[in-house]
Amino acid sequence: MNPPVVRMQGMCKRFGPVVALDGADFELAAGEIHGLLGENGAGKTTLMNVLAGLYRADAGIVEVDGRRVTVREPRDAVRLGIGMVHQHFELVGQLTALENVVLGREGGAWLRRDRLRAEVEALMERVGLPVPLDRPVRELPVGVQQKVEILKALYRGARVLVLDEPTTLLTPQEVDALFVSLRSLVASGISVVFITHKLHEVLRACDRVTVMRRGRRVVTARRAEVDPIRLVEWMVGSALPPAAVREPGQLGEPVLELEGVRVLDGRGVAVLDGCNLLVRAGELVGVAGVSGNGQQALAAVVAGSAHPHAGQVRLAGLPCARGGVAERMRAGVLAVPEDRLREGILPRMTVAENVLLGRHRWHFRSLRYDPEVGRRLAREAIEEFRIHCLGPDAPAGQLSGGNLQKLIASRVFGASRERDARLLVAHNPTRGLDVTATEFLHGQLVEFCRRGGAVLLISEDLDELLKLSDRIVVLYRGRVVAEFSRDGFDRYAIGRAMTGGVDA
Amino acid sequence: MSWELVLDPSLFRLTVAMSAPLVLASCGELVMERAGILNVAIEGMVTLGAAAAFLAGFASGRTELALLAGAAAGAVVAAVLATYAVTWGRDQVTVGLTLYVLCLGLSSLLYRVLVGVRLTPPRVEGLPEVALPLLSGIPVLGEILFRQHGLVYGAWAVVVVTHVFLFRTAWGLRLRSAGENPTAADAVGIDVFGLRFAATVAGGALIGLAGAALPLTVTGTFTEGIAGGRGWIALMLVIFGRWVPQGVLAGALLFAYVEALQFKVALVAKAIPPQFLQMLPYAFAVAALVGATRGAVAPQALGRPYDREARA
Amino acid sequence: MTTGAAHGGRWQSVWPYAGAAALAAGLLAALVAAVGGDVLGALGALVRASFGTLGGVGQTLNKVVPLLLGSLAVVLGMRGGVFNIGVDGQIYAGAVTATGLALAAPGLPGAVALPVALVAGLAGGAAWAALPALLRARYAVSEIFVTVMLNFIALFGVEYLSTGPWNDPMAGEAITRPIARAYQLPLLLPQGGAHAGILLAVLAAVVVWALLYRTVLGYEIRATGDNPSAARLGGIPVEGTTALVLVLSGALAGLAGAVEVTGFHHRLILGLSPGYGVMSILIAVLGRRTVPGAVVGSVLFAVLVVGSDSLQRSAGLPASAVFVLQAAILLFLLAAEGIRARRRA
Repeated sequence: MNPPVVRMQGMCKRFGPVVALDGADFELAAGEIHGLLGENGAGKTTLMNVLAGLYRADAGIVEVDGRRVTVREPRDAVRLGIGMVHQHFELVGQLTALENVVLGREGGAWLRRDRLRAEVEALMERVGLPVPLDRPVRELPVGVQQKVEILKALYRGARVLVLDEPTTLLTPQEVDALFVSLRSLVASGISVVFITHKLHEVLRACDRVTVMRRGRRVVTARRAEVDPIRLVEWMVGSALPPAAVREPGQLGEPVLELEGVRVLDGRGVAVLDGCNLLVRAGELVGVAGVSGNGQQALAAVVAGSAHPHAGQVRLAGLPCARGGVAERMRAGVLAVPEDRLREGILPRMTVAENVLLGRHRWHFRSLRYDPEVGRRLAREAIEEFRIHCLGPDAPAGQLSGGNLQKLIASRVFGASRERDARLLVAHNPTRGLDVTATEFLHGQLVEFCRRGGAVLLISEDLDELLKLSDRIVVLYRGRVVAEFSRDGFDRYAIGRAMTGGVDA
Repeated sequence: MSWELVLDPSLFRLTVAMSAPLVLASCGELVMERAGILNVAIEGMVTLGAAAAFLAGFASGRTELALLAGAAAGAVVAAVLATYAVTWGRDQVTVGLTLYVLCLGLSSLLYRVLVGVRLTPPRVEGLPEVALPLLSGIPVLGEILFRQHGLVYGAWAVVVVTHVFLFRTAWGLRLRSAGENPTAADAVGIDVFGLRFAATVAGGALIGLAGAALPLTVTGTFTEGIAGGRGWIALMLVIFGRWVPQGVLAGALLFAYVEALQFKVALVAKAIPPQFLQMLPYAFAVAALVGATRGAVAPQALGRPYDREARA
Repeated sequence: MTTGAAHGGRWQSVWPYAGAAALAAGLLAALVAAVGGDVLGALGALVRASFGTLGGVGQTLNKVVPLLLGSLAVVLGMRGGVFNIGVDGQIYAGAVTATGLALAAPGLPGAVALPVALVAGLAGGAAWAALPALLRARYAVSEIFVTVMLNFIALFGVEYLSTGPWNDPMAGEAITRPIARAYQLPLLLPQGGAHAGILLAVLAAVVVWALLYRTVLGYEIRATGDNPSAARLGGIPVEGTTALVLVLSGALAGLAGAVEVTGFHHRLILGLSPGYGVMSILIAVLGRRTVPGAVVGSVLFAVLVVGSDSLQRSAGLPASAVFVLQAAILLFLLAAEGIRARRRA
């Protein structure tokens, strides 16, 4: 029998105090699609990043084709025929698809674009992944960008293709297309590692599956030998934590209304274009859509950090003043930002000072600032939300991602209690969180609704929306193009709407 | 102000001559910024390049050694900048400003130690005028463009070479990717650290050469304020020129024209205090930057140190 | 205390500073030797000149004043997310407004004259910083570049005033007429020649600290400087705060200019700031962007400035040597930090 294409044994990796890999093992056979399954934070991506040379392992053995190898840098991995496609693509947005594919492998000092194009076209033909080569990749849809990433790896002679959560940003139709592409890749002799935390994808697409938990391998099994219940038990180590249950509550008065809202970006391009939306008290409205269809502008215009160039935003029936975020907070609108590090955290300031952000406007009646106020709020938040940190005076930048999100949640929900908040806007609030933290946050959102608040949940994770929403609206090219009520949820119909009603 | 003054061929000739150091310095900065390095030490590097070129020319009497010394001085400072900013991932603005001060001090210190205090400042021989065969015979244009000192032609060559390098070679593509998205570049095996280091040193050599142009083509002497903000202006020209060499060339010519015009006006308009005319280029630079900032898209990773294991 | 180094290992971090001090001493000795001076004698002279005698202490205190005010301006700016490279220009602007007032109204009574002149300095510096503040807030134009350009423009303006309309033909090239006695800061140490500006500078340090850490505005300034996007979502008017910080920063620098005129030169001269602006930036970085750090750094740099001034006279050390020394100290510390950060990774 041939040796496995890749074998990893006893892999260990720490990031400061966090143990990401704790003696993990993994084997990949030739010509298979191998699912690597686990919760967020189980170490799946870290393990593959070690294989791809992005992280250096603290301990462990890596073999490729039965020969022991050292992967110090990404180029070592490339030489060994290992290619990785990351969850957030590593493409240079300003360069064309062709330039991205050949980057680092230009075949000589001069850029001979004609010759390179011929080569890449031949490759696309062979593996059945056509993409437009001459447009800057930032202008291409996400599904196409993913194909560029795969082509990039194959152009470099990858025989092992690692895909990190490849379906997260895709519509259901694009997911189907991806699985077809993967089968044709395997047919041409390529082995695929498919990192995911979604059971149904493993059961649908993979030949074998390895389940990881807390930086170790739990089991490797053939697809025929597994079923959803056992997979879940392997993943979480026990029974599934109870999921937040949505009972349709009493719907109240309209809280948020958008009418014909138009928002232009810095270049004058309309990112929201005639957007209409209604959220009632006690209602959780999910906003689905492929990333880049106006989600950021929607969150910003509701939170008050952007102003509509046309149209109207109404809160509780009254048109909003142009007062910005502070004005909106006074009116009872709170936001959970999309990008924790970029928009949610003051990294060089303390936990106490972070807990206070936004709330400082009402916690201090005079000009005088009292550091004890923040410390007191922080102590309460640390206890209630179980934030792991060295105390109120620890710099926030030292906290892990999950704890940062808890810190932001404590701020938002703390503010909601203090100010009788009416509306909560959450944009991808659980991205990158582990299952426990995700459940916690979902529970908070549901609880907020149950007490009569309105929630606008903008998420790229369709499963999250299907689980929590009373209603799902689909955002496409800056406007709401479809609406589904809870009893009419249809994954494929939503997916069609996400791509403008045309099946991919 | 009469048309004869603003359209005077000798004014354009001076403009072309004065644009050379600006073109060299901003092309140097452009190469660095395309790789992701913001160099706020540039004014100091221009000054040190000028000092090194002056001293080498003064000691040896040979202009080619002077030019070499200027470029070398710029490259050495750039290597220090790269060690801090690339290898150690320190804040580029902090390190750049510190090096700026170091270069200013070092320039006059070296001059004082090596030349001493003299009643009349010593001079170095300037670059000779080179008339290009045939081309210099073209009426008006030949006089303006093709009877210049060698660094003017050198600057034009640098514009062409920089453009070809950035957009027609594999290394140019890699360099741009390192400045736009170093993580992506690293992932395909490009040596981001090495490339950024090399781009910084090469850009520093050009900036040092720009400094060398000042004593060798403009003043003949070295004084503490010799750069007179030209380094900072070059920084602005990179934005003005939208990070492409042709744009930088156009901006440098425009700015050099304003600078040259101020000299010419000072000769005829004696009633205006000269200081007000001297302010003009700086005020113009501010106005130009305000106009240029709108819609300018800098390399995405400009000013950000690359740390491979930084965990989001 | 929120200002101190939040990172542990206070003792561990002493070594780079000791190394930097040794490096500075070594470099100084090398420079003195290079210009053919007596090394040991020169170092002794430095100590005597800067804090060995009462006169030395007075001179050092007088140098602390502009350096402390200038570095407070830079620290305040950095805390609010702006790089104020224009401290020199704002010093000149403050000096111009203070001098202009004093020359225009020489008869103002003593109790009013001095305070009004100092306020004029604050206003002049603030006004000089207002343009870059506006351009940054409204059009996102780099304040680094605009403040630098305004330095050049301010210098030409001062050259015009000091050689032209305000020139004192008896005194020399670029020197204005003296200001009236009522506009002059009193002496604090009459024997040492230290003027009362040091009290103002220390007061300014306390005010800046209190502003940053004991007012709501200060909290908003720090939040804006740390992460403008998060601050904006926290309801803080980021653009307005940024602009205000730069204007306040300019006001501090302008005060430095007014104090130099009213306390030290008693007139406006072209060489009023021998690079206080750039030194202020170095001090702010050296002091880790903290107010106490700025105080310590200003004293250290003042000693270096006064000491190398004396070496200029006694050992022939060029004035520019002090820049090299100061920058070298900072580069050494940044290197120590950089190497440590790499080792941790």
